[in-house]
Amino acid sequence: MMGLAIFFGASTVSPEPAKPSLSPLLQAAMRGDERAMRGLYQDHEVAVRTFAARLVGDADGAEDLVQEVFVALPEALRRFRGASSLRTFLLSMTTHRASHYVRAAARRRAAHARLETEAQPPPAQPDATLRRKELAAALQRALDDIPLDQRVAFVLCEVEERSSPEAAEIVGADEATVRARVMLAKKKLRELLEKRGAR
Amino acid sequence: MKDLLDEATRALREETRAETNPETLVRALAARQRGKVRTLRWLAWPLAATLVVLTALAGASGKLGRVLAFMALDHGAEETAASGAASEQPHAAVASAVAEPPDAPPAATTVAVLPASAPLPARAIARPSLPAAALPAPSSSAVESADELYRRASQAHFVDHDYGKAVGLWDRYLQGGGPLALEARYNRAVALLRAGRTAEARAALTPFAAGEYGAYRKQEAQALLDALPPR
Repeated sequence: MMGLAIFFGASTVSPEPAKPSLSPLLQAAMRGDERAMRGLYQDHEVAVRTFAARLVGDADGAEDLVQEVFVALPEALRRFRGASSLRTFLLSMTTHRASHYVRAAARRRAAHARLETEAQPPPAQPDATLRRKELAAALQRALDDIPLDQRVAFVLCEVEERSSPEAAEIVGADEATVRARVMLAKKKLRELLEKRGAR
Repeated sequence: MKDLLDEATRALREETRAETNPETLVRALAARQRGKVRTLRWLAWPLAATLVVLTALAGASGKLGRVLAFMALDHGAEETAASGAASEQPHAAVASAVAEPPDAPPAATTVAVLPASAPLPARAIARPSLPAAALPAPSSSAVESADELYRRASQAHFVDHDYGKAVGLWDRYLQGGGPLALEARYNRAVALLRAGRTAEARAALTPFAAGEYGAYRKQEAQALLDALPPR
């Protein structure tokens, strides 16, 4: 699960001088220090994983996406100039690498939806838990049917509750664009949830 | 009236909080594995029918005796795997493509017994792709190739998601004694889990959970073990 980021040690990261405004841990990671890389992983893995799970919609795909992001991190740090926080940078990487995983997860969900006519085992969960799961699943299916840029904006702003300036920084668009995407996403999602009888 | 979208958004937020814990990961893996088992069951019928037809044809052409004699000569792991797949007896799966280094965890033992009812994944009976003896001895140039091997294993595991191949590459990396053996060992355990080789994954995770490697991945390994189905 982890560890791969650590491997990309001194031999793979350019010896570009670290920026003085960056944290010592990040500076060390940029020099290729594997302990520092491990530290970065430990500091940011949960946030990246949570965002990936929300964006992709299943743990399996999210897990793979997280790994891909951290595999690519040592190389990506060459481009990191410290203009944003590393967390924002990582979430931006996650966003840009998500499309394949989102599509794959959407295909899996669509396949499952086709099989839903099969007899289901009786639920063994309390009503509230079951309802929460059903609503979350309904929203994930609806998210599969809106454009990816709107999906990303919705997940960042509504599910992750990030501010629009932060979301704009992550996706590399201006705030107004992000807000417009969120509005469009919400309109479509409401329609889809109602049309599909989620209640 | 409550906004349905707001409620669904909250539900997704809470559900995905849970998605980040290892137990949920294991459940997702188990669900995928169940899907594979169902697929294997569907494949089993045509394969069995083909075998019956071929046996009948061999019998009719008088070659059945030669076929049986040939099969009787085929000993070793292949025989074990084949008989395991075909009979109701407990079978042994070749656990590792390459012998582990001396500091290997119990996962490195070469044979793991699976319950008779468990499906035998094709990868579990694969022969070693590269015998240990054929691996180059560690040297100064081998350090570089260990890095390359780690890259390839990472690529197979985390990018290509070819977990069977990843297990083989992690094994080879460990055999070469690379500097990131601990990470490779944990990754190997996860790759085994991903490949549906639950018994081997359990054995590979156990030393981490037992603290044999200190605190490294101790909690994660224990959580994964706890979430695995009972033996």
